Amino acid sequence: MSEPVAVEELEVPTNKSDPVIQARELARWYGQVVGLTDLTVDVPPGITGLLGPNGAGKSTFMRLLTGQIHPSSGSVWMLGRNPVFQPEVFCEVGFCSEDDALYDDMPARDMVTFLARCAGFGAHDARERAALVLDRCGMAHAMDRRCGGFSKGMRQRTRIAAALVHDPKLLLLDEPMTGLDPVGRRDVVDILESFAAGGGSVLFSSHILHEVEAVATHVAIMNKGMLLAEGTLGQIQEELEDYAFTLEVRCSDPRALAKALVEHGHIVSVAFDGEDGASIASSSSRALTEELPRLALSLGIEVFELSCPGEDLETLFARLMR
Amino acid sequence: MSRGPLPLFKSLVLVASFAAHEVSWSRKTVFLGLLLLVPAGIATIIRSEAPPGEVGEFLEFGMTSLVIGIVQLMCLFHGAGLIRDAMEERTLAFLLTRPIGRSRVAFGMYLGLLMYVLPIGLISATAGFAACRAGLPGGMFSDVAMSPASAEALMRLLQVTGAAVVFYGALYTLFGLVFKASTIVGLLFLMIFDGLLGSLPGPPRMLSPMGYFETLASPYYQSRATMYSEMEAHTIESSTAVIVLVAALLVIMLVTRRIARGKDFVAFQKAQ
Repeated sequence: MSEPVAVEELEVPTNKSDPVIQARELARWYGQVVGLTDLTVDVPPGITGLLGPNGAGKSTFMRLLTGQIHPSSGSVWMLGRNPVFQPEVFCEVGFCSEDDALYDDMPARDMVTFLARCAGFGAHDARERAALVLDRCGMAHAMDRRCGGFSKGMRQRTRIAAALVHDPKLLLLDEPMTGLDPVGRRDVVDILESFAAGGGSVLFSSHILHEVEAVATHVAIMNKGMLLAEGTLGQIQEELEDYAFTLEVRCSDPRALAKALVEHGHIVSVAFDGEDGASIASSSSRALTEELPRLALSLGIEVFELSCPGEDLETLFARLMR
Repeated sequence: MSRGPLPLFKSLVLVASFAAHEVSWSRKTVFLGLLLLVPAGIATIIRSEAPPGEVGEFLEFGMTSLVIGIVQLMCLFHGAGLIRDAMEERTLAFLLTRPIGRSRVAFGMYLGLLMYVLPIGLISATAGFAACRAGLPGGMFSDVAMSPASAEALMRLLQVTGAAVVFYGALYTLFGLVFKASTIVGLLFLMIFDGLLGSLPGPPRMLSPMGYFETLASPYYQSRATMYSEMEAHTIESSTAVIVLVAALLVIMLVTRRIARGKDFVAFQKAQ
């Protein structure tokens, strides 16, 4: 059992752009196993995706955030409050764990009602809110059935309803789309987007890249208990050092452009596509993106279109892992 | 439109009512429910088989130990499992991520255990008492009204039973919080401290909570080992028993609060 970390008071965020989650040199060990190490991060409002392979430390971070475990060192705050010693923060935070856990003996509505009551709602209000939020999560048809008989997708929807029932400002979801079919995933994405559109913030973890890419405005990438990168996709790309890069260009004279580029040592290959297209592979992303516009300008070549195939989160992730 | 945190009493009652529901629906309930009939069953057998007068002695010395043993088993199997099961089934996260606070969750669960075990423990004690005394002069259900001595004995039995539920409920809730194999540790405690040490005639009996409860039940109670012998036994004063039990209960509560605040409430972490 680790010693409780002293509560440090932070200002409760009042500005809409203030970080909703702050971690400072946060670390957690499980005996000799590193769960999380030296994590310093500010999670801004909006939808943030926490991305990383299994064992990256995402769930450890979620458990530290929700006060289920204590940090070995460092501190963490949500909405300016310490989750272990200031549990009132959970009036404004909803959490859906990755564990397939529900009160199996209880009907979904009773369970969600109970959790709403724990958040301070009266019995009548809580029951009405439970019905509303279960309906919103696509569980209207089954809300009076016991959770023990639910399919995996229904269980996940019920858990998300339980996280939403007290109308939180911040939603923490640990692998929320695991076990859902494509329709279920789409529904969860819709719920997250409508929650964020209503002014709420979301931190959700996933090891599936396109899930994060589809929903998140902000990304934090973790591996082996460490934060590798954090920011928007563009910011992360900028932070990355030079890397091999392929650019597709459509211009008035691709051959002249390619010839001028090849004189520089970093070009690996050029493949032409029709009269106006070329795919240029370079060993240096920085050199290529700096030289191409300069050369096009000096040679009087008109550039119609530039694209970077494969420059999605998956490629970025693979680069970070290296 | 989120609301503020719940006041202490309301949050305890909410968690307690939920825990009582969980306990009453658990798979152990039927088996443990049958145990409640044991005191009345044994009293009935003694009355029908043993010479007259034996049942009075059983009521004086045996009934309390039996009833306390049974409520202790109920507190052990339900109390030790309440928090531990919720940790292992991963449902505890629902309560920990509400604006309640960790120690209130632990104490709410303890209160829920009392809400369930206390009434049925008292019913079991009353049924056992009734089976011993029914129809006897001055006893229950006789033509003569219940004598003051009989009423006093019943009240004492109920008080000791209630106190035992409060004490053992707190103890085994703490076990559930601390030990992974909480039921096994609890059983060992029951066998070593209450079963073995509690039966010994000498000072080791003072290490057994059961010894103090037996003292409270009957001022003539010495120990189970010396009950029917001429052996000199180590006696415990009633006032000492009250002080020791109250002090031990307070210590258990304080330790529970401290551990609940500092504990990692995730059952285990697989090596990554």
